[in-house]
Amino acid sequence: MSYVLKALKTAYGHKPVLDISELVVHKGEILGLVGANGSGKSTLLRHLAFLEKPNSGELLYEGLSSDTIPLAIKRDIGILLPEPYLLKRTVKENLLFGLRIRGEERDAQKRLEEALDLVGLLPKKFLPRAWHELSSGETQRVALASRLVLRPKTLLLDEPTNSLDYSGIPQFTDAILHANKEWGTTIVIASHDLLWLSEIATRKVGLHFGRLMDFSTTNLIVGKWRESGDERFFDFDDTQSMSLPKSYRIGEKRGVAINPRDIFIASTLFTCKEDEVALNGVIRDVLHLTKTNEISIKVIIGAHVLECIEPFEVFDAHRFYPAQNVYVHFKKSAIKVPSKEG
Amino acid sequence: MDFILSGLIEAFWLLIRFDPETISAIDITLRSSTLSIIFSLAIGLPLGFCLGFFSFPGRKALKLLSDTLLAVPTVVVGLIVYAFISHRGPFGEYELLYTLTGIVIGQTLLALPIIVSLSATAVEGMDKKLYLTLSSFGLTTFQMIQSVVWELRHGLIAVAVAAYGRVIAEVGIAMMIGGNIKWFTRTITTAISLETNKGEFAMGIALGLVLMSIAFILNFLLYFLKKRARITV
Repeated sequence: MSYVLKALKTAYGHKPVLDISELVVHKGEILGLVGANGSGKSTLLRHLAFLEKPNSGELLYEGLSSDTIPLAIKRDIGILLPEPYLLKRTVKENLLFGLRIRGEERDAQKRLEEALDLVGLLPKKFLPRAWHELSSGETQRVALASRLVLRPKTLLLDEPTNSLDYSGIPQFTDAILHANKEWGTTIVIASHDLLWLSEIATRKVGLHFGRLMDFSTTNLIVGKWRESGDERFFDFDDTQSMSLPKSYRIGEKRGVAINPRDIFIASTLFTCKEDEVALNGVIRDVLHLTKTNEISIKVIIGAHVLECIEPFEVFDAHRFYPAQNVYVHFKKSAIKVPSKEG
Repeated sequence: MDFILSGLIEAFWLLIRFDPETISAIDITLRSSTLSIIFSLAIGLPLGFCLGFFSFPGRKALKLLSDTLLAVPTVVVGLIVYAFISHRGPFGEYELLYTLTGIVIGQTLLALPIIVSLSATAVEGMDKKLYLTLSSFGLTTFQMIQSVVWELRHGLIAVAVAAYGRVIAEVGIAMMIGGNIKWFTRTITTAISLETNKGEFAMGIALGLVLMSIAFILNFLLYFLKKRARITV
């Protein structure tokens, strides 16, 4: 195991930002972190890079705690920040920086060229360039190359595709996969690009207000609930709503989450049981998740989008298509309310 | 108007034929200000770096003090140094009054708050992304300091240039501590003051032209460095 996190808590002042009861990152895996802005993804990555310390709890990297980990082991971890910062030097000097720090200048030229090749930049053209002569996409690639040149055991990537255009993403993806396959690098990626993350990650975890969800929480329903009788209602539109007993402590900002794998789709309405919710909507997009051979179907209901993930075989039997009018249904027990206690 | 024009013409003559008295004042000025800048950088840069980089109790009070000292008039610095190195002062036995060394001490003290305060501001204002990026490479404390200084080099050189500009143009310390002794402690500014009082405009104008040229070069350097530092943000 690369990382083991237990009862890890961090707050900025009085505002809790991370509250993770347990998380294990396995060696050689590509872990995707998903979650809304402010969910704690970047903070978690900075903790994993030992750039920030948690207020309490345990963070072990290869069995070593943040207090006892030696510098040499810390140097095995590379992190790419969301807005990469290049040192005020040439591309060559930027790539050499980490190697010099580690005293690994032997075969440096070969390694620099290999790293630039990996990110799709021509070494002859880019090595002599100064930091201010690069576009934001090139800066992003050089920043990744400056980490790849070190052949890190662990690579933490925070919104790595931010500055890249569509043509730059495949090369960037290949570079990350190369590190994972050739050097066995453990990779943790925080990204809003769920499509890209689905392609590259071997596992995804969701973060919601600093807490881990055991699935990719794309179905976070945040907003106002109205009270009526013994229940609270959430209105998807003027005619459709779902309800939960008042005993559920729903925070408007924290919202509720529904596992996409607990949601089912049908083309016709059927009789709903009391403990079930059925909603009418229109399919926005259908996506094949190649890693798990599942199909992600996103359905627009009023102003909200619900994602349903089905095994390919189930989808194959129905063949839903975008713009199709469908009914989604799920059990009320599938609605998870993130509690304050986690 | 004639005396200004004739003074200007004579000033050029003094410079063209390397008038020994004029050259002596330029030489003493450059020597005293260069030495004092070297000393103040050696002391002030590490202090400024620590003040801007590390967090410790009393840091804000020290920063406030160094910022306040920026505004101290040169004659006050001259007065304090005079009190310490005059015959009645604690360092009187070293006979530093009316010497170049005395001027260097005074000018070092004048430049010190400028260097401490401005370099602390430069380090304090360092981009957080730079700090995080450097930290992510797993640097030792020494490597971190070395890298931060190198990354902020344009800003820090600009601090040195600004301090040099202040020192080379000051008159209070050179006059009070140096005593304006011809061939020994007469600097450009004290010479201008004296020659103008004597009605010798030519040398005053010649030295003024030299001082303005130095000021222009320094300001050009500052402009260039600030532009360079902006590119890097």
